Amino acid sequence: MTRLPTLLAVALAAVSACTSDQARNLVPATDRFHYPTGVALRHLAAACPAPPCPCTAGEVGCDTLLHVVSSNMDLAFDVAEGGTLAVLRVPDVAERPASLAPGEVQAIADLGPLERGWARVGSFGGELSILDEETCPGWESGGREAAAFVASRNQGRLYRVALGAAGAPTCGDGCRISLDPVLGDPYSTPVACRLTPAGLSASVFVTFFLTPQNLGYLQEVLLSGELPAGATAFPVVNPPFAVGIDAAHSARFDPVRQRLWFTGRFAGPGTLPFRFVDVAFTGTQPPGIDLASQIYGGEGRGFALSSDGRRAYLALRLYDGFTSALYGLRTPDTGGALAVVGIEEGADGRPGGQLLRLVPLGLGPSEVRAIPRAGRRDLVAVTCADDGTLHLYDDEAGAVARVFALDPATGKPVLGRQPFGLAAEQRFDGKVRFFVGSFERSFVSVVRLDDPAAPRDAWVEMRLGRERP
Amino acid sequence: MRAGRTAALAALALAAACSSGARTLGAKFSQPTALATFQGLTRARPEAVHAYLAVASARGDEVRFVDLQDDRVVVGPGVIFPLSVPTDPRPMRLAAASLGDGSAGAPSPDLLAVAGAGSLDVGASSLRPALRLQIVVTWDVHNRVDPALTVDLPAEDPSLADADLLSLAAMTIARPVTPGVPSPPGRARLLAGLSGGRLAVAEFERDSDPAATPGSLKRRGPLVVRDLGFDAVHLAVSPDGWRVFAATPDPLLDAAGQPVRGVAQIDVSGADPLAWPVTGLDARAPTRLVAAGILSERTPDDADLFGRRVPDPSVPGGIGLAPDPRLEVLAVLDESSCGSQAAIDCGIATLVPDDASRGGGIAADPAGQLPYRAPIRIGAMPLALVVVPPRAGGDVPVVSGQVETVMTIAPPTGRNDATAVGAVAAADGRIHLVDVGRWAEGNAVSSMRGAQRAAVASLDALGSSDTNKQVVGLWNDRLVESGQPETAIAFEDLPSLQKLVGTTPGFAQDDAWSVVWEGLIPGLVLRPGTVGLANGTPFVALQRPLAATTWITGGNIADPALGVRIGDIAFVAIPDTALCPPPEGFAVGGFEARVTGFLAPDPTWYPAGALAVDRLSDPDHTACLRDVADAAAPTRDAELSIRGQGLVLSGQSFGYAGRPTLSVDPGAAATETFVVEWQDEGALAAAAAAGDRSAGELLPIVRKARRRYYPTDRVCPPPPDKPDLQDLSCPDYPVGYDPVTGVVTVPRTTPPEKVFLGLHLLKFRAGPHCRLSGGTGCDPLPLLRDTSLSFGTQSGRAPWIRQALGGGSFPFAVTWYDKSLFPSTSSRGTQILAAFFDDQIIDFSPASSPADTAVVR
Repeated sequence: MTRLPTLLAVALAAVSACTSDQARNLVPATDRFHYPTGVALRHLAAACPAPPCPCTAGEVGCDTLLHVVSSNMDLAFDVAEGGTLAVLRVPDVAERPASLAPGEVQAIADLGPLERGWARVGSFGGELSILDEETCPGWESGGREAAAFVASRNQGRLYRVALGAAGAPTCGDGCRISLDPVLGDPYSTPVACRLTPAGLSASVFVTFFLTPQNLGYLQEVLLSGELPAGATAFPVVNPPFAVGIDAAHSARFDPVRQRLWFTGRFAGPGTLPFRFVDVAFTGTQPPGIDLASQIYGGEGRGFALSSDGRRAYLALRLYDGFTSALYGLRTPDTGGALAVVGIEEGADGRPGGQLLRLVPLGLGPSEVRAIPRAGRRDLVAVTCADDGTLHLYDDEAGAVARVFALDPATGKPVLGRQPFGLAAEQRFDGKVRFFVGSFERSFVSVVRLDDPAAPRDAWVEMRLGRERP
Repeated sequence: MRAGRTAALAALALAAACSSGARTLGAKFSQPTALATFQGLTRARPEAVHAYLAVASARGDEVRFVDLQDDRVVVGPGVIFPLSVPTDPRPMRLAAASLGDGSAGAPSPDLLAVAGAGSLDVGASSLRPALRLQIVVTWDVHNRVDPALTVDLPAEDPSLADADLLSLAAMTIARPVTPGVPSPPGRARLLAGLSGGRLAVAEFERDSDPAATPGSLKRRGPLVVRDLGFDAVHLAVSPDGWRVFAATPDPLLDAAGQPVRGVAQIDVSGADPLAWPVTGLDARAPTRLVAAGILSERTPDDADLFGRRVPDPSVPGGIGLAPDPRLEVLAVLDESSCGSQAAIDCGIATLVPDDASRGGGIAADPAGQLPYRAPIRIGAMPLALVVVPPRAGGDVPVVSGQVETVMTIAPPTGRNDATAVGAVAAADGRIHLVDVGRWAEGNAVSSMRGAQRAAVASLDALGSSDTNKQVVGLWNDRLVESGQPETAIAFEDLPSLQKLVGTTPGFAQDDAWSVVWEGLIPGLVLRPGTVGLANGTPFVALQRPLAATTWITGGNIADPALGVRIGDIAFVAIPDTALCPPPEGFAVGGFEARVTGFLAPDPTWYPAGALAVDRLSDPDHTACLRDVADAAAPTRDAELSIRGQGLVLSGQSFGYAGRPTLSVDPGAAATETFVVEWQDEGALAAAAAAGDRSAGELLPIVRKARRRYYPTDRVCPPPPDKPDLQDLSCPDYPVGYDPVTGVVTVPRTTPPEKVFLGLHLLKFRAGPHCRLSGGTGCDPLPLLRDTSLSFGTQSGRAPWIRQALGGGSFPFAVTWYDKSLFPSTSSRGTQILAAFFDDQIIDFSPASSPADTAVVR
């Protein structure tokens, strides 16, 4: 009787030691994705001898390189740096095996033949962004190296992963960039590339979930441009700057207006900020937009800016604002929606912020991408992680045109459980492909749309990676 | 064993009996997003066709039924669980219609259709997603989707392979399809608005085959697809049964063939959908939601009476009320094309399709001011809209003498009559109730009576602590008229001061205003910009350099809408303190300059436009300006703020509102009283387009000063026996004041004299005021900079709303039902039902208190 607690304690300690040791020592897998989060694309000319090698997707000889952050969410691998950034060459539309029936999913479990490389990054990686000739014209042609940026919530760092000539990722010297230690959970890492009197300037702005008193902060990591006084070399990590109440979530850079937009996290039902920083006009803090007067009980997540810069598409997680206000707590989600917000500038140059549509979606809307279409408003894709769906919203029709939900045969989500990471590719031939990472099942689906004007014809072209057991 | 079962049943029964709050338990909706009422058979009442509410659950992929008589969910064959009618994934739309072959006492089963949002992977392969309308069996107790009746749109018409479903409606085919030949009863149509400007029409009829299940339906004829040329994003069937109204973002042609934006009227009385006439109804903006109702409006001169005043032949010289009901279409304007910068404000436009004098477009402004009736403003984005009529036969009128079928409503201001209520589910989680016949959202407060009436709520003056300095005061022109020509600014007497600033119900806004001497112009405070020298002229612009002569702009500072005038003061803050030392008391260096002109865009120097500035007399400023803008360094980064010359009026929400005169002449009331009011926008827009800067400055102000609502208050009446006495409950207005027209009728004159008191947002006369005893002895003018008068106004309006008693997140569907049709609930009237994302439906009457709201969840 007296021995039992002792035995239990010993057994627990042994189990605990065993599991933690295993987790700490395990090198992350480089043959599969593992709880993928950020997803991004590059396009490189296959026969290009030296950078820059940008090309247009769909052109002959243009490789589509898929970049996937594995977050190591269950800490199955090394706690500190058990995440990876994988770079794979995605088979082109023309490479589809003739043996496949129309509409049949091409399943590629073995990623080996496609891989360009794997780089180890911190666990709990977030959104992913790319800085190269394609995203920042003049970057590589100016002799600078392409890079991918992902922040690790586990390490509180920004990882600057160099992308070699063929796109191979390496995390070497200068890869690990320390961020402000007071701020926690860095997540979004948009690249702001812009022309300044001092030349091409590129920065990464990092958002943080965990901030003192839930104040929003952004931290800028300067990569090029005018070297600040006292600095000797890039990157220069500027001190974080406050952006008002409510921590920032996802951020996107509008290169035309040089405006960095960002959503906020939950700060009460009376707050639903959609703020911006005019990067070109440093030192000023515009008031931003608060959508709470128009939507009661919504929390922002990912978003996309329309191709004409006049609209923003915000993924909103809806909750019971009244009960939240009563108890001061964030109540569980009741649904999801896509908010279409007009951000056209008024006479004074400030964006409007009129809510134009509130479109019901599935639970857990997460990432958003917008695809421009000639003569039509954008096509918007939204992953809904909690109910396993991908919604294609046609902003021209003002309606959801297509939902990838459950497979009628198996009852499983067509795109895997918890679809989260999202990237979009607009091809030379007009076709569109969406790359959707299933966080829980750890594979990436490619959704193809041959005619962007007919989004209901989208179909699942291929599945990349082995499903997590 | 047997005893145990009995005990369990007893416990269950007891639990059911003891439940409170929600009328039914365990409805288990899962994100209800569509509602429709229908007549049909279910297991709950297998003996007779009965009225139910169909609820589509988007996340549950199913439809459930609620008994409309007792709000109990219909249980399934397993008894313990609610009935579930599985559907295609994510059902987002429901539509139901009678086939017209039943009667009030013996209804027949209705057509009930359900459809999803977006195509879904339910087809044979992912290349063949389905887009189909499913029909739910209502004619026997085995409620289910009838696959034989499913309308598979692309399968029936391959041209629909690329179509998206935008809207769905069902209607009874009641009108003769062939002139002179009555249509046989027992038919109904489904109408599906599809992308690409198409409308798909499927007809159903009662199956008369003796072998068929009694009451069952069958398709009648093939699917017909009509190319409308516009996207019908929302459909509403007219109560008259022969028209369907479609909200659309696309251009339309009106009856005269002129292009309009608004609502399409589709005459569906003919048999052939391809020949249905379509007429555009002008709403001055695209629309996205629509509803229709037949109702009477209030009389123009009495908010409590409905109908049109006509001679009463039964009484010599008498006047009676003609009911005069008419069809009205409520359309939610598309927020992308309305608002204070557009030709019409956002809100719900009232269209009158049968009024030839209005061309079928927006009804006339009852006040005779705007060229159209002001849209009904809802404080949040409408998500769903329905027009709720009175119960059959109407309610007992609250106000006697009504000639119309009325329904009782009970906003917080008290019970009253109405002829229809608009129920608007909105993104603020509330159901907003519109008093359609009174042209406005129901008001929870009185706009003319009580503490929350439209009025000035606060007032304060700020200036130097030195009482020798004059401050901004307000002329009391009543005193001037009575021979006491001084400004009155007695802060201890707020009620009387409030009368010195006029604001009108219907126009008043909740805002904080300030009148500031040399005040900052809203939107032009500490804006990042550039100061420079171009072509020999110093300029300031909202821009920053990207390269030597490449700029990113932050707006056109010379745009007349911003309100800058010649003579205004630009404060140019220069970060380089060595170049421009900070003035005393300032941390930032810089200088002030006078605005001397407006510079058109110049691609080299100021691509969006700029202000020409000149040096002020201050030598420090002059030096600084010379140094920062010279040929060697023609431009520099700066932060720009613009101050008006003289008084500047602005509202915290309103923004820039103009330049009141600092009136020093006691007799100048007629010319120097400042009024913010609506004016003819067309004329101003034309003048602005022709380059008239003052018109360009005024246009956005008058647009923001448009009517915001029509007061639903009655005229301020005198006591019956004392016609000259003020109505004390109506303190701001004279006897006989009509809050809609702004006209006061003076009863003593014959005929009664009508005096127009104005319809304005603000009206006051500012003047200098000396705070010293006797009001004299102060330092002479000018006033010190930033000497100000501030006041707050309240709109006199609070929305009449309903919400869920607990929770209530995002209502995406709303409908109604007349519960007086059930013998057991004959005392009730029409009830409104709204579905919320957080899995509940509320059921309430506009005639009852919020506490009397039933919840089904």
